[in-house]
Amino acid sequence: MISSIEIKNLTKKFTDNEPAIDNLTLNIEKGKITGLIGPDGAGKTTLLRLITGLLLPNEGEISTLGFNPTINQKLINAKIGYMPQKFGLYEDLSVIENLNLYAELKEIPQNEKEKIFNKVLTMTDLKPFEARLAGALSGGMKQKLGLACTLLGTPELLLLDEPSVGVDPISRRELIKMVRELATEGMTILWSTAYLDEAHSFDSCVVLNEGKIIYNGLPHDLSETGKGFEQKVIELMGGFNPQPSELAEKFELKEHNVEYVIEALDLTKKYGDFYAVKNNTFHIKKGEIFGLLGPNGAGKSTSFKMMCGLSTPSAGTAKIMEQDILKNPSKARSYLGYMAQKFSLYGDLSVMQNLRFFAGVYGLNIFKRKDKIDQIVEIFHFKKYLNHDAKELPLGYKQRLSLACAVMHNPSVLFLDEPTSGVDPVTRREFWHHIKGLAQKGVTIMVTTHFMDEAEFCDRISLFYQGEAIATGSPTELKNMISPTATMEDAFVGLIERYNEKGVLR
Amino acid sequence: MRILKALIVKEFYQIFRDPSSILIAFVLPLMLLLIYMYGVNLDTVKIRMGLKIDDPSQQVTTLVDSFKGNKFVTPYVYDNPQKMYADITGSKLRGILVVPNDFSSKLDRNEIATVQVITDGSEANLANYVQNYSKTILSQWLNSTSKYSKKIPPSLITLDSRYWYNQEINSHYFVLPGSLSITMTLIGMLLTALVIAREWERGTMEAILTTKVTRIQIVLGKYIPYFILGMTSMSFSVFLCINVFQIPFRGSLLVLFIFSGLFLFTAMGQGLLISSVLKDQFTASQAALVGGFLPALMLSGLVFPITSMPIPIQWLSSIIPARYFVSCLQSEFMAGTVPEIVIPNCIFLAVLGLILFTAVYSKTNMRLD
Repeated sequence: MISSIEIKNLTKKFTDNEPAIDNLTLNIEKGKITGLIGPDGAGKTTLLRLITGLLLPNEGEISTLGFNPTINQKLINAKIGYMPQKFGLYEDLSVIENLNLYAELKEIPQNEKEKIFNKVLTMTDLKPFEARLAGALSGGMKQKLGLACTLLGTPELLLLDEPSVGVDPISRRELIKMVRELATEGMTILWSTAYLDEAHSFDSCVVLNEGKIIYNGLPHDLSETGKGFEQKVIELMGGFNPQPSELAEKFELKEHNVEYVIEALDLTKKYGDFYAVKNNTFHIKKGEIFGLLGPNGAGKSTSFKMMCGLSTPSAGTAKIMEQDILKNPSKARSYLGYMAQKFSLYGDLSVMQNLRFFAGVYGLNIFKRKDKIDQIVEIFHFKKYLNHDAKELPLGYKQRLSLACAVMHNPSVLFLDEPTSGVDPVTRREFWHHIKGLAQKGVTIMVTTHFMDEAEFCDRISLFYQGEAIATGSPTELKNMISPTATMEDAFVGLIERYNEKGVLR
Repeated sequence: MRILKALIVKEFYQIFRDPSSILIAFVLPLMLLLIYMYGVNLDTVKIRMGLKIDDPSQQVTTLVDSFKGNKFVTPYVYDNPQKMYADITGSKLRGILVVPNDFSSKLDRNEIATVQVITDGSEANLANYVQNYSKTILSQWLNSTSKYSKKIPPSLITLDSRYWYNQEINSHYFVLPGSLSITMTLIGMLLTALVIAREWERGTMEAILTTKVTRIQIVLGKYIPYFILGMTSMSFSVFLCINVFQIPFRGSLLVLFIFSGLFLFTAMGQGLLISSVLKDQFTASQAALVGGFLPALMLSGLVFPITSMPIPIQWLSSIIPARYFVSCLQSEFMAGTVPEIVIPNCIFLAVLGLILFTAVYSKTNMRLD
């Protein structure tokens, strides 16, 4: 076996005591796709940065393509493509200008540029958007463009840091396809991901936990199927033993006899001639988990914002607990817990201060506040982070804190906008365990997700595409629309393709 | 070369698409010049004064006429003192002149007569105007208009004053060119303070660092575009000053551009240093405003004369690049090229600029830790 990367006894510590990478030894095989997986804060990003020379190790040795990153960062840079997690596209530059910039920075010969650009733009379907500013692209398109820029100059080694976070299944398939097609003979790829089905399809995988390797080998040796693989990886990470959700048990739902707790009535949002959301109607029963699925930019978040009164619909309205969101916004909102897609707590306040603040603004009884906060701290294991600033928390804990603040006032209705985006598999299980528990208790939940396995947990799903609900039904019903053996992802991709072909879905 | 060119082209795209940089480079100087031209007047102020005349004599009526005829004073004659005091409290009047009932009788008897001037001390500057205007109008009246003028012996000495470099003592002539230092500081410091921090915040820096880019290319890739932007904005302001606002320019354009370039070089050094150390747009802009812009405004000698500052503050002002720029600007416009001013100031700016450039270069990190 020839290795592109050789790492021996590597340790990296930041100022706080726990090492981010702990005495790690690893070889990455040349010409293969290796998946890098592990929970948040396991050290995946740190490892990739150490390999590029962006960070320097405290102890141990790294050899990247035969060079030492501490000394020969420049030589390495000439041969690698690195796509950081928050990829640095220039949002105020157009698609073609971004490509051109990276082509220049990688010194691609002028006469080859046009040919390469054509190939890349065709493959990413970005050709019609050539002149559009990168900032105005949807999440999936941005990632595709980022990947295209990284692939320019055919690097020997490709390092991808979670390129598929927050990307819909269609764009994810396209990203993988792009890598497989553009990756030339012998290109080594190290791909960090939170999607285990993705990792399962790679040649090799490395599971990282607390800076140590807990598995290194073929994904198929762990399990033949994606599902089994996920189960095995979760077990490796310490497993998830479902106890009855404490959050749900302690939840005090206000009794009510409203049948349809959430209703959207011809909800429409129009920007100029463009319909972000078009005539959307649905009714969600008490205790139901209703999933909104769809590609990036399909109008899911816009619908959310209209339904909780953050954005005024161009037409139609929504009702929460029979209260019209346009006529009685504050009354309707009082039933609502909302977890936004972007982290929207106060980053400069500590976890405890955030909890106290939200307990205050939600008007929790002053005598019960302390008990409630203690309860939440215990349920979500916040104890060791209580005095940390919220912005410094690992992603999983940020999301936990957001959920905690959203349910603090025992709302009858929960809106969760991509609650598990970028979160590791164990934390995702824990989240859905809480969500299901709350629904059983009678809380009505509307949720968006890009994880197809999560979609299966929903009672009903509405598939969004280009602002319209193109299919609604239970997960089984949707899958059956494609074929009896279809997976959720097949259904997602298939239904959208069918809509594109026919224009209308029957 | 190719990489540097690509970085510069990229920076220009960003500059042209970001309304705030165009705003700071072209709209702001225009606004500043308009304000300094038509809004700010350091020379003369028209003042509303109350007059309370307790002396019914014929002579005093001519005194009131003298006040009415003066172009810097708008007098209001009051009968009711309570009303007058209320008006000065309400800032309707800036001052009061009270002529007592024995005023003309004392003058008739060759005694020293007294008038009372009350001013609103909460506006110290205007209070001085009230006092000086009253003094001037009274002595003019006494010496020429009134019947007492014959009693005054003619003065043996007359002053023949000439104001060099600015014969009309028009404050616009030095304030307008001086205001260039404000625009240049804003472009040089504020804009540049944001740019590197922005790249760190948006993650573009991390991506750039793993390409073939070298450290000097990153640094020059920021210096060159903003230098060009700054000099273009400067030319625009100079054009406005000379051709639109008719400020006399007696120096050499070449010299003007040389020291402006040097000043811009130091200001950019400050801005980029702030930016590469702080890596956060918000903090960087605060630091640029407090650490760079305010001293440039307050301590450069543009608004407040340096010689009237306390000694420690004068020392402090000597490390502020804007001070050297303002003095060059004002002398270049009003007195022409004065080597005794231009050469030492240019040397200082060049040395400081080079020190800052070196600091920026060494602080531009090619790694994340």
